[in-house]
Amino acid sequence: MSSDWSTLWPVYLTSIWQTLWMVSVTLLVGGFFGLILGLLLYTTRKGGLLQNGPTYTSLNVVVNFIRPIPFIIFITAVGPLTLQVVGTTIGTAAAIFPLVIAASFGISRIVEQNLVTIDPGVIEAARAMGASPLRIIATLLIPEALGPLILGYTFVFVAVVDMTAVAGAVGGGGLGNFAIVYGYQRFNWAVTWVAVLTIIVLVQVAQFLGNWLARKALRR
Amino acid sequence: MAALIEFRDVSKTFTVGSTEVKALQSITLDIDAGDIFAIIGGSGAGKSTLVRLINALESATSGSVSIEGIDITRLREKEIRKIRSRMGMIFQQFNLMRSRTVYGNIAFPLKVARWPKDQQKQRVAELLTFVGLSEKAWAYPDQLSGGQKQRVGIARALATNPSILLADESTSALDPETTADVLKLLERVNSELGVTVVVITHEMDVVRAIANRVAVLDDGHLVEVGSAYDVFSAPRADTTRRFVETALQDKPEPEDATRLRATYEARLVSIQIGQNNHLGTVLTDAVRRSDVHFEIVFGGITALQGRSFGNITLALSGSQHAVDQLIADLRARTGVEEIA
Repeated sequence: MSSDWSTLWPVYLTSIWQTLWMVSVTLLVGGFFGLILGLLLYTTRKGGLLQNGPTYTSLNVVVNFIRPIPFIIFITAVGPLTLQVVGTTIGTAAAIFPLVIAASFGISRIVEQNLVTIDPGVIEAARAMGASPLRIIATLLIPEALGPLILGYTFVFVAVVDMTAVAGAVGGGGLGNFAIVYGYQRFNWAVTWVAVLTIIVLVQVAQFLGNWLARKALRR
Repeated sequence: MAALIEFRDVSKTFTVGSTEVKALQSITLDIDAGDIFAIIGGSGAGKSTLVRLINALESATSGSVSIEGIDITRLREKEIRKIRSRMGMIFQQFNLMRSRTVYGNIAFPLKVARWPKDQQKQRVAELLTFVGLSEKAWAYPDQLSGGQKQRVGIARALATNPSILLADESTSALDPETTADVLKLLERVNSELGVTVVVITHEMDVVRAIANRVAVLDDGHLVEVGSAYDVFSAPRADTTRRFVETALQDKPEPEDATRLRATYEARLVSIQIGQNNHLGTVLTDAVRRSDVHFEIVFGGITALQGRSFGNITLALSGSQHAVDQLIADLRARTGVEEIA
């Protein structure tokens, strides 16, 4: 066992690093595109600030099209596109590309749902002051929905950690891959549990941070 | 001279699914600068739509709406935004931004209008003093009472020195005492700052408290327009009469009438009291001249814009002829309604 861990230890550390790397890039890039998409979904819907039927309908269809695809299938299905953009279909970078796409669409719904909770009266008040749609989006919609948005992104963090476990399928590494290759496939339960425990700690820390930030934003 | 706000044959139709809802039908209306103009109507009468046509939050289906002579139904979005920044609006639910402090809320329209930071600061301080909330600058809306929230709403609406303030059911969510405070504040906005105030309400009490002119809306139609005094003292449309009665309650309801008839063996008449119609003289003359008696059994007299009016119900007894004569004399001077 002990000799086992002396060789496993560096692999374990690398796996943590890979997971953190994939999750951070996905949250940052996917978070950004998800926010834009979510804002578009919210503002182009009927009665929205930038009401636009065709745009809303096509966005809605695309989002509904991408979201239900299981990630393990999605990651392989976008292979040709990944090859075009990243230059390879193997490795951590190759895993990040589909992660970002899937996360963007997932996040867009969460953003949309949180924006819907904003009191339309407040938006009307801003319009009555002569504020432009762009100003309302940037200085009213996002601040007003910030608390729930932070909680939404925290939820996404956990979902993305879950998704990265599949990255091993394309040689992306990470803790999920570590658990499967060094734990499950070698009948080494200890390795699996260490990986699971690490993920639990990661998620707990993220959830704690998210709750704390959201509370600050909501002042409660 | 053209009025500040002019509606010319304005109609508004909403399409909900496949059905068309006629919210407003050929409204022609003038609101003069300096007025406190009340638009009263029941729910669904179209009053919220009407007020939103003034700042183009709604667009008219036909007809024209002019502000200071400019037809805003023909303007493009960007030009409309400029017009909007010269009007303030307050709401029933206050519509404050929960993520911003009182200061942040009041400064928001100044930011929109691109005021320099130091001028924003000065203006917000002025406004907070005007509405009496200087100590609450750094409070969040959630920490304020309803009345305080509405005062923040008023300060925010006045921030850019607008010439028009639109008040959409601004006191409907407030208790009576707070309502009185907010109405007083609106009166000060009108008298001290010279802002034309357009008040939307379903409460005749609000009209009585502050308006100098009233328009009555019923099911999308304008049924009556006039000075608050005229509308209260001599309502013409049925809708108006119902609204006036809710505010004054100076005419006996059917149950009151039943009770009065059981108490008095007499003819019951409700007479309108106006300014200088010398009804007392008519009554004393009648008593002196014949064997008629009267008892005051119901009613009230109130004042509106410095003039008194109301209704008094009298129980008249005596010979048939004398009572008939007295009723005829009263009729010659004022409105008389026999309560059968």
